Amino acid sequence: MSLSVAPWGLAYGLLAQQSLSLSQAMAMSGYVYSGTAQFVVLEMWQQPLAIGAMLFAVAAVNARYLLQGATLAPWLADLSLSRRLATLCLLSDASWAMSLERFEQGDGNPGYVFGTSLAIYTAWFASSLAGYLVPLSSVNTQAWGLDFAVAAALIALAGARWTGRASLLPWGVAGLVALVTYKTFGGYWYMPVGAIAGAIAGAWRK
Amino acid sequence: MTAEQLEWLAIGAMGVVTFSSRVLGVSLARWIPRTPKWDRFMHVLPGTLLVAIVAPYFASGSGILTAAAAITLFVAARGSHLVISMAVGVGCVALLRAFA
Repeated sequence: MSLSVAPWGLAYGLLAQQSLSLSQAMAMSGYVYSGTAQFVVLEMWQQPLAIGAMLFAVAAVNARYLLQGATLAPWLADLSLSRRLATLCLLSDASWAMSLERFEQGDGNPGYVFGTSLAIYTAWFASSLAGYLVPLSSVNTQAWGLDFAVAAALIALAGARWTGRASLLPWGVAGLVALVTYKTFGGYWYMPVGAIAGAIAGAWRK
Repeated sequence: MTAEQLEWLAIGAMGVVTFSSRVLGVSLARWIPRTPKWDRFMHVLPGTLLVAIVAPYFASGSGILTAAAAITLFVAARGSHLVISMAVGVGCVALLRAFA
């Protein structure tokens, strides 16, 4: 399971070479640690940094953790604050899904959350470091299409969230509003504006 | 503040935002509104954000990028592994540039 993040971490490391220093890239993987948010930030990493829009984007892609944490609450609410923080500090989509399944089957050991999280975290950190250290400087990035790689990663992440026809309206609204905002104002605020418009459309439809 | 200090400030703040969203869910479980509307909003938000981010690639004026973006989205929505979808997109751009 933890190995399944390795190719993705490798891809992150490879792409981070183009815009981040080694220490910045590894701080993103080791300290921020959120795959989707890391790819989003690579896309937005241009001087001067649009920190406000960037933080909003990170908060928005990570909002799902709030809900994931809430679903684990029945099994973790009795832990002391420090143990709760330690249990959740490395939570990821995969470790959440595995832990919830385990809990619902009746095995309520909170240590399972941290154990699975740590395994996935280690694989992510090691693979992104390995990707960063691959020598790429001699490669013609244009000819290999690598200048499109961050966009391809983000489109792949979006596509993985496609849930059939129910996605059509929120995605259409998000794309359209984002595009109009982008063409009108430039900058990066088209991202949150489009995202919120699309999510409202998704919330209102039955 | 220098550009590099700003970069580290941004990384520091992103870590705080991410850490908070990880650990606060359990504590806030009682107060997070659990209406169906709010649930749906939170559920679709990451997807719509990603769509909004990539929207300009679909109208970039470059036929190659638009075609590659559409193919990547299609492949990913069919359930391919993330890395495969990404490789397909990058490969499309490389091939189209070489032959188109």
